[in-house]
Amino acid sequence: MKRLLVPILVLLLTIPIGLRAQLDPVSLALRAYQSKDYTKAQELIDIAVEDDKFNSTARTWCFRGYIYKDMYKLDRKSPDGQEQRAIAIQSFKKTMEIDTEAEFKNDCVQSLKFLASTLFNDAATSLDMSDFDVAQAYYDEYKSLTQITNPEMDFTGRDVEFSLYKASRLSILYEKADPTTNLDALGVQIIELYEKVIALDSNNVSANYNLAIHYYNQGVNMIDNMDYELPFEELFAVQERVMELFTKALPYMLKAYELDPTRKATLQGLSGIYFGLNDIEKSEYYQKLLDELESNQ
Amino acid sequence: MATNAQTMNTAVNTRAKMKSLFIYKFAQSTEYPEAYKKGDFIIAVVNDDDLANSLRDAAKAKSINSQKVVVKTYTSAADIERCHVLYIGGKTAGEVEPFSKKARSYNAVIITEAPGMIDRLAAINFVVAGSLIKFEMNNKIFKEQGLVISNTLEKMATKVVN
Repeated sequence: MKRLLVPILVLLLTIPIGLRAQLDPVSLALRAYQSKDYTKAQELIDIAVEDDKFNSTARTWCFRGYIYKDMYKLDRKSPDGQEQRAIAIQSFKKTMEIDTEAEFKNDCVQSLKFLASTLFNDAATSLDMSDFDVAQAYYDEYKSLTQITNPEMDFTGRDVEFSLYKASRLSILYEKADPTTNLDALGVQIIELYEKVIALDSNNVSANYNLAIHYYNQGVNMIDNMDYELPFEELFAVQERVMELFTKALPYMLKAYELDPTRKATLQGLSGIYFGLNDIEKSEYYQKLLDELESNQ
Repeated sequence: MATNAQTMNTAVNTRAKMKSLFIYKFAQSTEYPEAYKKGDFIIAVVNDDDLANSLRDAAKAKSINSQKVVVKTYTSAADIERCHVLYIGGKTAGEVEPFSKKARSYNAVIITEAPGMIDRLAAINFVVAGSLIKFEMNNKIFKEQGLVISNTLEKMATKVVN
């Protein structure tokens, strides 16, 4: 930064006063930005925001936001790119804070909307990579930013989408985990997420189906892991716990069926749950519906 | 974000596994005549391939009374050979009776799973109470088969015929 500061000051002193205004660090940064020399633009705009003469104007912060936003767009995945996005967001926020005339409001809102969308996408990518805490942080930041650009925004749909995806990703870890691992905390987290989605949208087929399968699979795994050396009393006790899980699964699977009676997986699920509950008549009823559905396709 | 549908675990037949666990307990709780304490421990299964498969899985790792477990399946009563346990799948007395009669010639625990069988055709009959698999037992048939059972079994039974 010092590398540039000296020549800039020398340049300013040798330039007639009338031209100096055009060659202030903000203007120079803008020129560099327009010629896509982002490194130079960044250094100049960072000089400007340290200078009380320029850092109280919305224009300075707005340009800074644009410069950092475009730098982020060139290098989205690296830690530098992430930092550039954070600085862009902070700069646009600062612009809106001091832009009493709302001169840059529309530009800031559009840019923040774009940056918010990248946060949402990064939340999804982090879930794909099983970085659940990072994903949650990105999602929370997405919401916080979107509340600035659109205070009336209803996040229900997004919350459903995010929680459902997070739960389904956690479920994959749950199913693939070593059976000797204690999965209680993970299981609770998955159930809470599906319940949250159902509380927001009781007619969500995926949440109802997935929660039912989660309970059902827990029961099946419990039976599968039962040891042949278990004492009689324990055999009954474990069986009761398994039936509790199947009983918990049933209403969610019935709801999924009510919402979409022609979904094959749901019919298979109902047949399996009733079979587990030793209600063979109902199990065969849903199996028959499934067979009919498959034969008609 | 495209939500993944969770995959249902269809690899385990829950009823078959529960019944095979019970059958192991029944066998472990039964005192057989000396001649039956040597050689393989034979579990014969009629009309329930899932149960036979579940028992075979268990047999790979678990013995009964220190005897290696061998699971055999039958479709004809005439073919039934000496065994320690005979499970007969079937809903009517007509289906069950021929197998039960044949098993009376051996010191075998005869197990069924249908209403009314406990009165004269089976030593143990699986029942569903609520959603739970439980069992009823017939002490008379146990005695006639020359088998001695532990008190625990009787305490756990939903019904005991003497």
